Amino acid sequence: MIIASTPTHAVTLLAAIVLVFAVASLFWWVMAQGARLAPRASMGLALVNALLAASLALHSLRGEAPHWMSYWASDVLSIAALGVLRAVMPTLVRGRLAWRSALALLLPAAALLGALPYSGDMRTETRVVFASLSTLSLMSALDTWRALRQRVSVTMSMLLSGPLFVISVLLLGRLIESLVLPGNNTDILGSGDFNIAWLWSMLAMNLVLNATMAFLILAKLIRRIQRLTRHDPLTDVLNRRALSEAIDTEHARLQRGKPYALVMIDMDRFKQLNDSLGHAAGDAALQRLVEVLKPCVREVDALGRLGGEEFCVLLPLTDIAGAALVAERMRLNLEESEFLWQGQSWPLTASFGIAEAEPGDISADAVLSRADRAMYLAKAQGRNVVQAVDA
Amino acid sequence: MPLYFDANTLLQVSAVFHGFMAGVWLIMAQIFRIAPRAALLLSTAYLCIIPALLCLDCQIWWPALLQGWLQKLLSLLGFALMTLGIRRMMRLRMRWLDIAGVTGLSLAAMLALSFNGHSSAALALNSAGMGVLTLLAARDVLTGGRATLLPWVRAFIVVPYVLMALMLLGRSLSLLWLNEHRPFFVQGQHASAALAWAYLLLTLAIGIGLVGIVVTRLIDRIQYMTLRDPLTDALNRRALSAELAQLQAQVERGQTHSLVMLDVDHFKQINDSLGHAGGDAALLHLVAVLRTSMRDLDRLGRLGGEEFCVLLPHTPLPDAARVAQRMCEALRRSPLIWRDQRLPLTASFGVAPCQPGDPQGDSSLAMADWLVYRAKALGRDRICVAEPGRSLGRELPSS
Repeated sequence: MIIASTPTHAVTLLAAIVLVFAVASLFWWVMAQGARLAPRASMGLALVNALLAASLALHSLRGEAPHWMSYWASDVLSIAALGVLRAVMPTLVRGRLAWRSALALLLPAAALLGALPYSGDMRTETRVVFASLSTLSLMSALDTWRALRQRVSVTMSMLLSGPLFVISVLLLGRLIESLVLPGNNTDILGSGDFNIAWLWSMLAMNLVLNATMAFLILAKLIRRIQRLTRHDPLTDVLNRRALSEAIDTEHARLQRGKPYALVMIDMDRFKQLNDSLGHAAGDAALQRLVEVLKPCVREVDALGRLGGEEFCVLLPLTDIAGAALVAERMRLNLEESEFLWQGQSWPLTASFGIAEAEPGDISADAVLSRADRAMYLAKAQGRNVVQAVDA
Repeated sequence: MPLYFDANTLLQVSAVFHGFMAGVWLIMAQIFRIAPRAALLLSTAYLCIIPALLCLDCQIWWPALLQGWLQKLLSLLGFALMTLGIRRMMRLRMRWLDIAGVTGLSLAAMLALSFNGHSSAALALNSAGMGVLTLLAARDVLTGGRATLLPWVRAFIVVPYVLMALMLLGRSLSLLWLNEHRPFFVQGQHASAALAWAYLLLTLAIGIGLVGIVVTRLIDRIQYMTLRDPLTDALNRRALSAELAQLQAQVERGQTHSLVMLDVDHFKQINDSLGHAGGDAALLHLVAVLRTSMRDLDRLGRLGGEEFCVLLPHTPLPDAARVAQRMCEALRRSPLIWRDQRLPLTASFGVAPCQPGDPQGDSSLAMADWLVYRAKALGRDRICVAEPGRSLGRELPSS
C-alpha cells in the first residue's frame, strides 16, 4: 500500500474514520431501539462510537475551533468513550453497570487535563490521555476475559477478549512513545508516517472493537437459544429431551462398570390443585417444587421435567441405597416446605420412585420404566412416600 | 481553507472495511455457525472486491498487458457471490441462473470488447453487470425480508443497494456516452472524491445492514422458541393463554370465537408399550393430522402432556363442532405408523364457545376441559359440544 504523505491524506483518513464511527453509532442505536437487542449495551456502544467520532471531529478542528473545544474537550470525550465502554461491558454478562470505576478514572483525568496548559509539545497532556485510555480499555478487557472464562471455552474467550487487550496495548504504545521520544510530533493531523500508521490502526481498532462487541452479544443470543432448547421454560430445569440424552450417556457408561440410579418424582394431587386454584397456581407450585428439590441435587446430577407434574433426577455413580437417601431427603424437604397461593396454603408433597441401573438393562428405557413403576407403587401406597420395585 | 479529500484514501478505507467484513463473515460461519453457507459466500465476495479498491494506483506495477482486468473480473465475481450469499441468507429458493447469466454476459462482452480495443466500453459493461447484480440483491432483500422485517426497516436496508446500483449504472452510462473525455468515477487520479465518499458510505450501510438482518433473525428465533412447545412446535401454554386472552377481549366487543380441547386416548399405554420415543412420535403424528383441518388463523397449542387446544377465531359453535368432527374422523382414518406397526390413535374432544365476561378465558377452558372429561367418560374417541341450558353438554353423534 502506498501511503502518500500529504496533509490531505491525513485529513481524508480522519474524516473517513469519523464517518465509520458515526455509521457504527447509528447501527447500535437502531439495534437498541428497533430490535431491543441488549438495549443497555447497544445504547452504550452507540454512545462510545458517537463520543469517539465527536472527539476526532473536534481534534481535526484544531486551530479553527476554540482552543478548549478542540484540545481539552476532544481529549476528555475520547476518555469518556472508553469509560462508557468500560461501564457497559459487564452488562453483557452480569447485567450491572460498572460506572463507578469508569467515573473514578474519567473525572480526575478531566480535571487534571483542565489544569494543564495545552501548549508546547503537550507531552504531559498526551501521557495523561493515553494512560487513562489504556487503563480503561485494559479494565474492559480483563472484565470480559474473566466473565467469559466462566462460561465458554478458552479459545472462545481468547478470541472474544483478545482484541480488547490488543487495543489497550496499542494505546499503551502511544504512551510509551511519548516517554521514549518526547520530542515526537503527536498531533494526529500531522503527516508523519507514525501518525498515518496510528490513524489506520485507530480505524482498525474501532472496527475490531465494534465487531468484538457484536460477537459478544451474538454469543449471548446463541447461549440463550441453546438454553431454550435444553431447558424447560417454566421451571428452568432440563427438558425431557436434554434429560433423556443425559440418561443415555450415563447408560453407555454403565457398560464400563459405572452404576447410576434414577429418582422419578410426581407431584401429588396436582390436578386438584390446578382445578381449585387455577393454572397459574399450578405453575407456581411446580416452580416451588423445583426450588425445594434443587438443593438436594449435586453438581453432577441432572434434574429434569419429563412433562406435566413429572420430574426425574439422574444420579451418576449412585446405587439404590444412595438414591433412597436422596429421595427421602427430597420428600422430607418438600413435606416441610410451605406453598402459599394468594394467602391460601396448600400442602406440597410428591411420590418418589427409585431404580438402579442393572447390568442386564438393554436401554435406559428399562431403568426409566422401573422407576416409573416404583413411582406408581408409591402413589398406590397413599402418596408422599419413596418406593422401589424388585428388579 | 478549501478542503480536498483524497479519493484513493477513501477507497483504501473501503478496502479495509471489506477485509474486516470478510473476517466477520468468516467468524460467523466458522465459529458461530450462523447461516454458514451464506456467510462463507459473503466472506469470499468481500475478499474478491478488495483488489479493485486497492489497485487504483497499482497499475504502475501491475503487468501492463492485463491493464487491471483481473481486478475488474474479480470484483464482478465478488458482486455475483454477494448477491448469491444474500439470496441464501434471505432463505429464498436458490436459483442462480439469473446471477450466472448476468455475470457471464457481462464477462463475455467485457472480454470481447477489450480484445477489440474498446476498453472504456468494456469497463462500462463491467459496471453495468455489477449494477444489475446489486439490483437483484435489492429485490432479494425486499422479498426475503417480508416475513421478518418491519416495512420501514426493510426500506432502510434496501435504499443503499438501490443507490449503489444507480451509481454503478450511471458510471456505466457515462463511460459509454462521454467516452474517454470526462467519464465519472473512473480509476486513477481523476476519481472524484464525492463518489468515493458515496461508495464508502453505501458499503458501510450495506455491510452493517446484512449483519443487522442476521441478528434480527436470531432474535426472531429466540422469540419463536419461547412461544413454542419444543416437541410439537405447537404454541406452549403460556402463548396459547395470551392468544386466548386476546380472543376473549374481542368477545366483549361482540365477536364469536370457539375453542376445541382434545386429549389423546390411552396415551399412557402408548407411552408404556412404545417407550417415550413412540409417545413423542404419536404426538407429532397427532399434530400433523390436526393441522390438515385448520385454517391459517386458527391456533394450536399444547396445554401439557397429551392435552391440546385449538382456538378457532370467528367461528360459531356449530362450525367449531364440525371442525372437531373433521379432526376426530381424520385421526380415526390415519393410524400411527411406528416401526412398521399400525396403531390406532384417537382423541376425545370438547367444544366450547368463548364466553363473555371471562377476560383470561379460564371458564371457557374449564368448560371445554369438562366436556373432554365427559367424552372420555362416554367411551372416548368422540366429541362433546357445549349446549346452553345443559351443563353436561351434548354428545355429537358419530358419523
